[in-house]
Amino acid sequence: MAKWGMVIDLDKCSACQACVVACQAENNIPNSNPESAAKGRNIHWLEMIPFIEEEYPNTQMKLVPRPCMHCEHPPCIKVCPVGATQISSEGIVGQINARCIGCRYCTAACPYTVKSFNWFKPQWAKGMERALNPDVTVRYNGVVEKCTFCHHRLQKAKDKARYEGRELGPDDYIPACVQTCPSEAMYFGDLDNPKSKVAILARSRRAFQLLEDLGTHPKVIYLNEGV
Amino acid sequence: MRQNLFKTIFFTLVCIFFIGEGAGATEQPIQYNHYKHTQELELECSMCHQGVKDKVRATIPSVEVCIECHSEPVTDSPEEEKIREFYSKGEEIPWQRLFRVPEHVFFSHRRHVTVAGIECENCHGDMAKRTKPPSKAPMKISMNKCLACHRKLQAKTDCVSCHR
Repeated sequence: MAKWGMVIDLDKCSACQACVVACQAENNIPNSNPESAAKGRNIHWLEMIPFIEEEYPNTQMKLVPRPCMHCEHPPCIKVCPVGATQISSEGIVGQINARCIGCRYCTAACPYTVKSFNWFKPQWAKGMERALNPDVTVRYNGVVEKCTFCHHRLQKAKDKARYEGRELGPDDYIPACVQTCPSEAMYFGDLDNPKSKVAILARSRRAFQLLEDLGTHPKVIYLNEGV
Repeated sequence: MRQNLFKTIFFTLVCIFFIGEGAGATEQPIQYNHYKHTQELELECSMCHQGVKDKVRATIPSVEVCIECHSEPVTDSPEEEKIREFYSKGEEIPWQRLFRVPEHVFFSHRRHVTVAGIECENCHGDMAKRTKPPSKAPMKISMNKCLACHRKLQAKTDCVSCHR
């Protein structure tokens, strides 16, 4: 059974945020506005987290792309009272919006703050609502949403592969952010297959995970700069 | 007083009639006979629902599909004449869909019909044997039914396998 994971090479990442835009477009994420931004209520499935390093005069800003970590032991699923967020046998932590009651326990439990609550009815700039992706449900207000590793792409890829009578290939299923990354800093694949690109990179000396000591075992692995 | 009572009863009955009428009863534009096509003529479902074997959606046939056989009168049914009327006006037949899965569900016909070999009756009931279009779906589609079958056939029951 595949265990889907992502590797982000921070040495290659130029913080252009193309992945953020690709994610917003792929997953029908509503446009933000200044009022909701002031309240911290904008929705981002993939966000750039700024880290300020070193001291003046050598201060540096590092931007780290942060999708959902798809933890092997996700704290969010333990607190959900209705089973709206669950981990699949292939390691994808899904969020079933139709089942979500909007209690926001998972939002509080997630140490990576990847979950966003829909405070308002989703709104798009005029004309943009016609450009929505039909493969992804538009969420309504009162539910929590988060990165799903574009699992609608996995559903389609599997459907196609099974129909064509073949196994799922390594390039069949890739999330929108990985597909878009112009500097090819993001890799996606099966962590369970020791020969896959992501598994090889995840074993490298540069590999680290966010908040490793929490024991969540994230399946998003970062590669440190330099070294 | 008595007149008022009659008025109330009449009003209530009218309300019940309209609410009852609106509750899921669907009227089709043509009294299509599934029985005649699938049982007497032994046509396959995929002849009209063309996506059923190799596409995600089975599709409701367009008027072009009907006119392939019905360009000339086959029977003396007045219902058949309606097809040619729609076609000559360049309009699609406004068929009403009875089976629908919610937007947040990914359902692929080809995966169920071609890959898994599930019969149409499993989800669509006796639709193929109906002589008249039913006012509502002969079989209700529910997640419980999906799950029961998935468990029986040991297919995936992960939420994200179907929901999106």
